[in-house]
Amino acid sequence: MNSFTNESVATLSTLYHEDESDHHQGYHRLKSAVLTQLASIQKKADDTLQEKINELDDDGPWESKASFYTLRSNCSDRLQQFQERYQACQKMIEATEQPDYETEYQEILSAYEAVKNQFRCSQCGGPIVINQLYFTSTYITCPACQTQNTFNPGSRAKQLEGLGRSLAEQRTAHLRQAYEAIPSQLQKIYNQIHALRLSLHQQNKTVAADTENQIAQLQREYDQLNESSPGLYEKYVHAMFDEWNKINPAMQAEHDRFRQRMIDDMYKYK
Amino acid sequence: MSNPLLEPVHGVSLYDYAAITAKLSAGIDIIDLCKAMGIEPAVYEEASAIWVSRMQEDGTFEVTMKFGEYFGEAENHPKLKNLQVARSAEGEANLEKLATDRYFYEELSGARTAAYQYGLDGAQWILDNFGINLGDFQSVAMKWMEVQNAEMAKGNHESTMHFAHYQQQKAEEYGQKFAAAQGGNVADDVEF
Repeated sequence: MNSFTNESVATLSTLYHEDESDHHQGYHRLKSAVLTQLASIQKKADDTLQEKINELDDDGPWESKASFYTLRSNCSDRLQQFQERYQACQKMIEATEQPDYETEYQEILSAYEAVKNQFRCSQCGGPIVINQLYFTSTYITCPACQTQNTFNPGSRAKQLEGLGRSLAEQRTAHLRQAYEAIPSQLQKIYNQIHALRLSLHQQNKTVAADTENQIAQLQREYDQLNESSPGLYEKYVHAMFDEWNKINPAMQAEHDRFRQRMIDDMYKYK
Repeated sequence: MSNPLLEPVHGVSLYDYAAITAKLSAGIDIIDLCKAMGIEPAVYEEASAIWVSRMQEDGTFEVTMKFGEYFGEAENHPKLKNLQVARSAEGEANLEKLATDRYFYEELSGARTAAYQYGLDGAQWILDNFGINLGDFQSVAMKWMEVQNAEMAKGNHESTMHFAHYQQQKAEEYGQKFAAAQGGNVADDVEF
């Protein structure tokens, strides 16, 4: 599995940068195939444990039932380790997708600049100054002869709205990660509290009082962290939408309504 | 119309937008679609961007649900129904079967999933082997989705589970065929 993953990572990384099809379709098809093959190895491991170990009868030729259950437990542990390696391989494959939205954005701006600088009135031929970023075809009146012209910003600029969100998300990923890290941090504190509570009935009164203090302190940390979660989410959402608005200001009103919907949903489904 | 998000955008209703999207995915050119609709491409482009944003801002999902419903009714759109891509006789027959035989629909859905899993372009594979383009396939898929939603609403979960299982079974069968065509799975050479 390791060698298959390593070879695939090299191939996919190269393909991602060389694949010029829309949305890197060739890359995604190959990645899908690689993940399917990885899954087939994991499935074979699962099936092997099921067929060769789990279906064995504990009345078989074992030294003792205890040795049989030890064998079964060891095999399950090995499968668990294999599962962890499989998940690590999946992550390596997924990590080969490294979109460079900043570069794509700059390319869109350059292409747009060229298109808008060449725009002339279809009637009088006079230059028409475009002083804002349009990502869809737009009617613009010639200031000289008042003819209505259709300004086509070009195929690259038409990708701006979709790319804008991806770029905004990429620019604010650290804020999303801070929010998404909260559940695991809460779980960690919860586990600490749980372990301390279990230890309580083995302690004398003096030690127990100290442990109770630690539990109370951890509980405060837990509550504070839990209460900070909505605020961190809002901070991420606002930062992301502010970025998106900077990238494509033409859709600011629509983005802002979407922003509000995301925040409302968070409180509704919290 | 009680939901303001369902109001037309520059005269382009949600039904218009969904039908145009369906016809586009079937391979019909946007210029021909705009001509049939009687609108300029510039109007369509802006309407398209706004319909996407309305779906994003609609927390009730009503716009998205209606879009799906209308997408499946593109063939009845008064201005677009006559715009058709050329289909082979076999493609026509298969499309008819797809719309009336749920087992056939579930089989092709499973096959398409398996094709993607084995690195093929599933939509192209369906077109090459059954003569059904992506837009037509998705229109039929929307209709079967409505059938399934109606089943679920009536509490008929058994039927939904039955067809989900059938599709999964077919995906595995086609997966085996694709694997065989590619010389087998990597796991074939692995022994535990």
